[in-house]
Amino acid sequence: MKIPSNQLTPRKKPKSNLVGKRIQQSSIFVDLMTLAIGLSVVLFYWSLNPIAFSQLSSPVLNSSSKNPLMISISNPTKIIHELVGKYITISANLNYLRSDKTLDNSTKDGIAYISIVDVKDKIPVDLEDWSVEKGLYIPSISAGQSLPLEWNVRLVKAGSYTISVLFNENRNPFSDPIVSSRINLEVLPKLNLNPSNVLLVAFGVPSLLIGFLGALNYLRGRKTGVYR
Amino acid sequence: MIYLIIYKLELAGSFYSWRGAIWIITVASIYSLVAYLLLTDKELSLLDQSEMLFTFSQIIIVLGLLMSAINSSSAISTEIEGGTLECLLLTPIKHSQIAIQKMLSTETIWIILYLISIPYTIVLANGTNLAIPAILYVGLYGTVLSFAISMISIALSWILKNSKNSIMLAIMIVLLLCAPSLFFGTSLRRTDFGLMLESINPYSHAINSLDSILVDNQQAFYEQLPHIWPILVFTMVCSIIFLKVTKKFEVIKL
Repeated sequence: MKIPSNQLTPRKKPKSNLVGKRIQQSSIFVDLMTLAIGLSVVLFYWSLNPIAFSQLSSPVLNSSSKNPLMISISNPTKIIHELVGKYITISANLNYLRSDKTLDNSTKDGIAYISIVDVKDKIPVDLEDWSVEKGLYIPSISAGQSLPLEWNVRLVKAGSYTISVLFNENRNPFSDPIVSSRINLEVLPKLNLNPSNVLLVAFGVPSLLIGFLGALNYLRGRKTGVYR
Repeated sequence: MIYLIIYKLELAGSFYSWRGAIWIITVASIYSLVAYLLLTDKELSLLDQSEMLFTFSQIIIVLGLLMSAINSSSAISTEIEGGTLECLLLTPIKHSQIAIQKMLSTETIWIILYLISIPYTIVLANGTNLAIPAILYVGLYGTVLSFAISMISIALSWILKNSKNSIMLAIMIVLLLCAPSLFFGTSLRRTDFGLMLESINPYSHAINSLDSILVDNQQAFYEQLPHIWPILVFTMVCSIIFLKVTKKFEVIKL
């Protein structure tokens, strides 16, 4: 019995149908890939900035923005131009704002300090020679109170700096520091070239001493008979 | 006055001849060089004037201490080596008086060295209010430390009876005193070890005090008392050693 050839071989599907299905599958694949890449990008950024994301969802951001403590700079100008070697005074006010949530008898304590950043070198400045008082301990500040803070800063090196005042609360070690707005500081170089003519002293003193000692030696020599 | 004979003799040796007085010209030349460089070199001129004065004050004190140490450490040993101690002991002067007069002659050398530095200090402090504090405090610390170093060096000179050894030891003492301030970095000075060394080191106290006077503008005397009393204690300890050692000199044939 002869089997018809068309019964043994599977029936060929129409070509156009196959191509359509493949296109459909590949578009799903592309969609899935795009979704995966998008998710991985989001997750990657999430892993880089966990604090930022957690802050977005947590009430910390709201609490910091509504922090009853505030530092305001009371210097008249926000840009200071001064020469090297001069002293400037940085004045600020630490305010504990009275809010509905704050108890009347609640007090806070902490350390207020200044931070100077060298803008050109992009490094914070060691305050060793800049200021005698690095930090001020505030034993207590009660709600509604305002404390004046003051630092005398000596301008040691020429350059561009920013100065800000910070306050770290002692009782809550995980609280964010309170930061004031910044003061821009332009320290201009000062050349101390030859004030009051150093040459006169630099050459005059040894010359005078040579003259004086020579005269002394000669007079003694005359007395003892060395010089006749 | 018979008591000042040795003092006058010692001074005469330091002034009346060119060889004796060459140190005065050398010191003045060092001061001139430093002041000239500080005020004419463009890079160094960018330093604040208080920093310049502080550097210059350090140089004055270090030079003074070195001069005092070298001059005093050979005071007795040269007499022994030259065989003149016997003659000196025959004079009707107490043994401690001999040592005191030699110490006073060293102190006079410091005073001359200090007086020479005053015109330079005035020029470096031109236009600031730092000239008088710099002159006064350098004078105070230099004089007290010079006394202490002179006394300990004279005591060493008698104990070792050898100029070479006593001069070397005296210079080493001065370098040891200067080491924390001159050779230690800021980070090392802030460690417990560095802080401990600085708290017992009279030279460090003098330099830290000058730093706070000239750089930090804390010129009141009471603000410097925490630095002054350790220097005075050190000087008192040195004077006790000096008086005990120089009470009696004996000629021993070596």
